[in-house]
Amino acid sequence: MRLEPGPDAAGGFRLPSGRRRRVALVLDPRFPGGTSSAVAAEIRALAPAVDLRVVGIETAMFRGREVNTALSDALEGEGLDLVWAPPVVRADTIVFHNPSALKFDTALPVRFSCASAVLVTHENFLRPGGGEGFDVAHCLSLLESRLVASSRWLAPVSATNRRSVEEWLRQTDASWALTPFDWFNICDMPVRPPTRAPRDRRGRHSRPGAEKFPPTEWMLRHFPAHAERVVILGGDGFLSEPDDVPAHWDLRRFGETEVARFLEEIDFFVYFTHPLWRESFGRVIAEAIAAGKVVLTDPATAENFGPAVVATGPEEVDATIARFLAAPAEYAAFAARAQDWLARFRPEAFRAAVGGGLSQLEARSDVLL
Amino acid sequence: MFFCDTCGAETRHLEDLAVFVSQLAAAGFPARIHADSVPPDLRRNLQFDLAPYLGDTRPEAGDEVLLLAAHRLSDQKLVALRRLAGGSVRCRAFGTFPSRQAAIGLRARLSYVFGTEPELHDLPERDWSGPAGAAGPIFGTPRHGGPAAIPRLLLVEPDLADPREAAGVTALALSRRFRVTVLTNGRAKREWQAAHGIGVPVFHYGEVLPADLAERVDICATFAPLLGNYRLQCLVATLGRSGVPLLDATPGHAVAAALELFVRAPVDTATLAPFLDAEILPNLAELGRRTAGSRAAEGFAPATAMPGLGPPAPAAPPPSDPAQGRAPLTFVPTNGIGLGHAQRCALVARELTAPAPVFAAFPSCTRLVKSYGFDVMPLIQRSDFHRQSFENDLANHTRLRALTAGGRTLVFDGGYVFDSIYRTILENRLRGVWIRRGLWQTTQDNSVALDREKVFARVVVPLEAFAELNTRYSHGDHVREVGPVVRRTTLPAEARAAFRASLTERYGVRFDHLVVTLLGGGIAADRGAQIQALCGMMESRRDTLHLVVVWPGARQEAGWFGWRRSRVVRTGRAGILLAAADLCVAAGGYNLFHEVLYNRTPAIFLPQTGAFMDDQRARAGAARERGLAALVEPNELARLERELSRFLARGEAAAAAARLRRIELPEPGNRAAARAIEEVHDDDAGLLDDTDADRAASRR
Repeated sequence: MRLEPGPDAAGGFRLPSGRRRRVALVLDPRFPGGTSSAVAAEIRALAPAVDLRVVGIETAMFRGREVNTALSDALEGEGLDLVWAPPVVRADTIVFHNPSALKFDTALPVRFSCASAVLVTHENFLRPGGGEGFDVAHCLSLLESRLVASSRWLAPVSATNRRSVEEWLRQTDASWALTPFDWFNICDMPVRPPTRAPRDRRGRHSRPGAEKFPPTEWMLRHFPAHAERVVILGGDGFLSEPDDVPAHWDLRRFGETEVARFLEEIDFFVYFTHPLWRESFGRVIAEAIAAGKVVLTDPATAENFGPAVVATGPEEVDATIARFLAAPAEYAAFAARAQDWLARFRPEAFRAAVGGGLSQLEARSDVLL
Repeated sequence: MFFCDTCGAETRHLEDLAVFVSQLAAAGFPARIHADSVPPDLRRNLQFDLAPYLGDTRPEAGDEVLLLAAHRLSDQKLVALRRLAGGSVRCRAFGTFPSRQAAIGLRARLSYVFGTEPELHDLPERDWSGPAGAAGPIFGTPRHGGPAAIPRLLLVEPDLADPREAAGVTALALSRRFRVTVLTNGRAKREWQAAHGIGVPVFHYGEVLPADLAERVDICATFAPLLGNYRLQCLVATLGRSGVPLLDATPGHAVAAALELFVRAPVDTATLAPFLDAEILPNLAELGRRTAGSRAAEGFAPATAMPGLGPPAPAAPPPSDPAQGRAPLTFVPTNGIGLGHAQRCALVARELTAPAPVFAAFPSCTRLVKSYGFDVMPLIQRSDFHRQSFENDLANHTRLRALTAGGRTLVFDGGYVFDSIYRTILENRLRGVWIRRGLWQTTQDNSVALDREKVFARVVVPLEAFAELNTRYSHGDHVREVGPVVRRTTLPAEARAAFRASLTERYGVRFDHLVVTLLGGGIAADRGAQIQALCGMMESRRDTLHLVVVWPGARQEAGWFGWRRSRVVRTGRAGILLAAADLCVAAGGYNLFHEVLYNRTPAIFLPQTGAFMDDQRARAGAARERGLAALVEPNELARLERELSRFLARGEAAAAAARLRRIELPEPGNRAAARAIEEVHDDDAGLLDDTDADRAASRR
């Protein structure tokens, strides 16, 4: 059962003794995607409220990459240092971000000691259809082997992510419990007013992985020749086989265009992933909503964004866009309502939810102990 | 349909793919490779391995993609597979997955491509297949033929560089108790043949697929470990399943220790022979039963190696000619300079008693073959427009495979055994007959052709009419020498006179002397100048009609036309012209030379001297020494004019004709050649498989 945050959010950031809670965020800071942006926002949100340390671990998954600039900017802004792989990390609460980053590792050089360990499950544990998203048991056992904690919690980032973790826990005998609250992605991107004269300018943005794209026939249907403009940012896979791609698609490599600038070039963000994979949250969708775009996506992905997106099947995309084009006022109203809805992921909402949630974890862990 | 592919990008991965798809096909599974999965410019042998399975159709519902080396899946390959699959397709991936995460990650990535969750097969790291695991599922295929009366012994990678081992192999090859074949790598084969000739049949791995080689093995002794050699592993699996005794001759007998199929054997070839005599040959049947019944052999069943693949398609009954009640027999004449090979084949085919043969021939020969009443499938001529020199042969390979599927015998006539011929015989389990005329030039390197003699059950050698021209290039009971294969045109005096009169009427030229020039199609060498000169020389001879015969499709020059005494005749039936002629000007190829001799027509020979041709000068010289013809070098135009005068004006034509009538020539071999082919074709007991038991080890 998902519990609502407690009434005194700030209380969660202080211990009963009145001391500020010592929180350590542990992650591989070289992750190139939305997770790093979310954690960067988290650093900015938590730093004023707790004694925060950010610990970097080097995973095999991101070997050779640079620290994500969103993270280094946030650290610099808060006057924090990134501590690389100390022998031991001690804190009241240790928050591990993105455990799937450990999937290629066989050892972890850092020991962890804390009252409560919270593992934020940025990636779904199970894929649609039941296949595992990654070797969850391996990643958890790697952490368990180096962790001394009174309680161990898995914190989902969204409703769909929660269901995936719940189902995995049901199938296994893992010794981790599910947090009663979501450790959601903070969305603090600037909000732009929606256009009042939408045009048939469509686009999508994602990392270039195969899981991020639906079958080609869906793509062809979503981005037809009659669209005035089609921009696909992160279409690296299509660029390697240009003969397979319609000439009117403006394909760009991942990172080739700044996201804000890309969003200025479109009015409809059409985002479907492969049916056998699912976003745990969908930060690119939040970015599009903040930029004042109407987002169309599949019903399962839409679940994380409620009425802020148009949940549609792959067949209805064209007709949905046609309806909005015929009613520009409806377009602007829909986009504005979506932006209002997105405010629930603001930093202050995060502080309220997580602050209250952490105090509940300790109450529960006392019971467990 | 199973669409096979590999995630490996190196040549060895494509070789593994070729082995895998051929094993599947041999086991009765419908298997294909999409053409886009194969990069260009592969090694020639690999292209021939893959060609029969290439197609451009994509998987449909109910089809399945089988992936090798799945652990090597790259982003680029993902894109290619996505293109291949198009929609939702079942996928079964074989690979070596070092961790659970590797398998989970691969399963996820493949599911995004194929739209369904793939089935992953982590290939077992058997201790005999090497630390990296097998390249693909190791399974055996059913053999079509049974054991030969004289057991066929395959030696796998004996140390041919070691003089003692080399001597041992040679000694084994001389034994009449078994027939030895060696399987080794390409370099070892080259070095062995450079030092020892081609007396011992040697295959290198790339020139034969496991299922095809397995048909020719009754005992296998390996001197090499099976590590990392998928081709050899599949060969062992097929032999094991078929009950072929397998001997481990490796130091330490590590193969036998790991695989119960193998019997420990001496590790050197010198002591292998007595061991075979004492231990193996007397117990061959029992050993075979034990091998086929072993648990290891059961593990090599396709259903065990690839569980869930389903049963193979039922084998189609071999097609046969209902009219004749016999399996088909196919003639394939090569495309020589002229039509000689096609004509020789047609002359022999005409003498067959019962089998109704079909032909596969190059376009230049099809009209001639049809004129003999045989059906002919066109082959593709080599062209400068092709990207590779053997591009046409790749297509011919697939055509010949289709034409001869279910057939029994393929008769090839030519000097160079094309890959298409060699492989069709091997892959369609055909009985090969090679009609091989001799008189090769001493500078010619025919080692490749002679090396490929090993796939032929019989070599039919049409002899030269003059004994000194006959050289034996290989020996053994499988070589059958026959008299010259020649077309004889019988033209009685009255008919000859009537025919000559018809020529006068047709061309409006009265003549006493008929000269027929047949100097070829201008392919080997340009004879345009000589023909032009001959036309000029004839112009002053008011008693002569000069006919320049050109084959259909041969090049003609404008300068040959417009002469009063010369006419250009395009025909494939020059026989009657020769029979009616007083003098023939010819190049000296086998067919025309013998036709001239047997039709008793005096001739002036202008030999073709291309390095790739037969020794026409020697042939013409033999006729000149007997006073039957003149020999003029192509550049001796003044001498050509003198010889013309000698023959036409000074009576030499009549004198030569008289000598020709007196000379004793060997019995033509047309019928004997046909009988030699029928023996092979009709040998239902397969006894002829053993007739090359004593192929001498001295061939070079």
